[in-house]
Amino acid sequence: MNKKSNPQDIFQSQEFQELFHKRKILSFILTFFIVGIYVVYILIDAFDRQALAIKISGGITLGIYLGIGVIIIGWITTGVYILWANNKYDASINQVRKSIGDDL
Amino acid sequence: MNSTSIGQVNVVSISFFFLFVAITLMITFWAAKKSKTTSEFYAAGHGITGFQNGLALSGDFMSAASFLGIAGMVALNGYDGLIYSVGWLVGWPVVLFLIAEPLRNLGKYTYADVVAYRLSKKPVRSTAAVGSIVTVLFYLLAQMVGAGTLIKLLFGLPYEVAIILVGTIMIAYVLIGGMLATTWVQIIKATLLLGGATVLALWTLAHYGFHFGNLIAAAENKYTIDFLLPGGLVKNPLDTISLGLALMFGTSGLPHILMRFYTVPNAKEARKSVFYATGFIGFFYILTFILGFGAAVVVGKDVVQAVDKGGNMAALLLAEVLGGQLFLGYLAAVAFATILAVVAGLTLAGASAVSHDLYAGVFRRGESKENDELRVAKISTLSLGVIAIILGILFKGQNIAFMVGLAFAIAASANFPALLMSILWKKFTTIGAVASMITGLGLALILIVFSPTVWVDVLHHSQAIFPLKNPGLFSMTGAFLVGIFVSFFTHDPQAEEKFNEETVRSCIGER
Repeated sequence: MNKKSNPQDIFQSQEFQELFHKRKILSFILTFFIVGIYVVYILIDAFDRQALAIKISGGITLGIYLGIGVIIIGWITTGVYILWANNKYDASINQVRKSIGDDL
Repeated sequence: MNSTSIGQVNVVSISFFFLFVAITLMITFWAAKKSKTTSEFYAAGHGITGFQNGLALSGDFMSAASFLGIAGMVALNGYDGLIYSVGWLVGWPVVLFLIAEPLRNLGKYTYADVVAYRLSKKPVRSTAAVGSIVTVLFYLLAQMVGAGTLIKLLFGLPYEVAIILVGTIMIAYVLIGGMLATTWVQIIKATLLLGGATVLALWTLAHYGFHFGNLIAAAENKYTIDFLLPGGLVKNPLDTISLGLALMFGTSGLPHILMRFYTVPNAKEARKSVFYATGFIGFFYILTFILGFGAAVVVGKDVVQAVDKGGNMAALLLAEVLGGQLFLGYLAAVAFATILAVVAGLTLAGASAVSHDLYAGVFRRGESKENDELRVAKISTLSLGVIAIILGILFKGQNIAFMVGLAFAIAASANFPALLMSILWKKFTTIGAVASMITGLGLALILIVFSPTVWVDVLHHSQAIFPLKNPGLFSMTGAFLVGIFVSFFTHDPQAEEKFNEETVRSCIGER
């Protein structure tokens, strides 16, 4: 039985490095994405009033679609992360834990 | 519509309110049996599910200020209200991506647990506790003064009586029922508020053939296209972005929000709770947008403004016109309940910073007996509640609108950068953390005093020294830069050595 229960060994193991980096990259990308969307939305609000006044459907302007759109996109990005984390990430964590002999 | 009963004693409303208080106090006494250990008092014994915590988290954000204030802002300024609420929402994805899981895996009851995980406990914990307490105090003060004004407006109750009533009931929740009672009060209120706002929005839309476009068109007819477009809020886009960043990253540094992640059993439930919370809050902001437009069209801007200059009564006036006394009474009681639930959560977070971080962590160096810590937590709760009542009365009639923005700026500058760097950056040092937190706190406080919000609006100088209304952009950047700079020039071998272990635990949890 060769159990790598020392945190240093776990940290160095390839499985752990992989899952750690994947999570780091995904969370940074999603953070930049949502912050970027917000900043772009504010800049459009500040500099392109004309475009915001365009009627898209039945009296609702582009501006209202964008504002409500950002709210919904914010929620969807959390959903994307959750889907990934609940399936892929948790599976890799369980694998790492198994390899170090933790009870699951 | 010429007359409103808002501001008079409303029997329906008072009955609803007493019903709410009676039920929540019953829950509090039930929870008292399960609040005998520190884990139960601070974190509801980690027994809250992700869905329940999602509702409770959203309840913390759906304060009276955002329910009544944002609906009022939409009713008076139209589209600007939507821009404002978008800024409040986008902080939640950030909490999920950067903070929620490592926080749950690394800490016990407070975010200072995490910042101090591999750094020197004493200096880091005490500085982080100061950041928590200052954030909570400003937030709490804003809620208390808002509560007094609101309840006076709603029921005609004297300001001081309202403050003492809110303070006393809130202390009872926290002191007797701890986090379990506080969480359930928040869950019940969030459900009542979401339900009430949904019914009111549908009721409004029913008058427009259940088509949102018809409501928008009616608003355009009445107030021209300008009502549907950005107005004063983005005149200075840098200002809006600075406020937006404070709201966005401040959410990840609010002690009463972060503390809720310890009420769930593990990181997976913590993660799920943010998904639910973001959904509820987003839905709620879309509802308040509809309510604001409804109030502008059905009630009329002039009537809304005649009752309250800031427009805070817009949603309630709409409820009165559409649903009469009964519905108005229900919503007014929910608004009152909202204040109670939010101040209870804040007080618990402030008390835990005193008892868990300062007393147990610093004063007793982590060697205190559980009963002693619990006793200090209860004394802190009582003291903080009394302080909130006194400050609320002292600040009567003061212009404190900037205080919530300031609380977010401090959270984004003093708390969030140190928290994030302590999780992610191996070379982050104790001195770097302390310097970052002090810089963030100091800059946020100094810049807000020099900003138009305080220098011009409160102190009545003609010109502000610092141009932006919210210092978030600069104070947060400053806190990051100082933290990085100081860490480069100092060494903390113990912290570097523990980094790998911390990272492993932040991913796979306690073993």
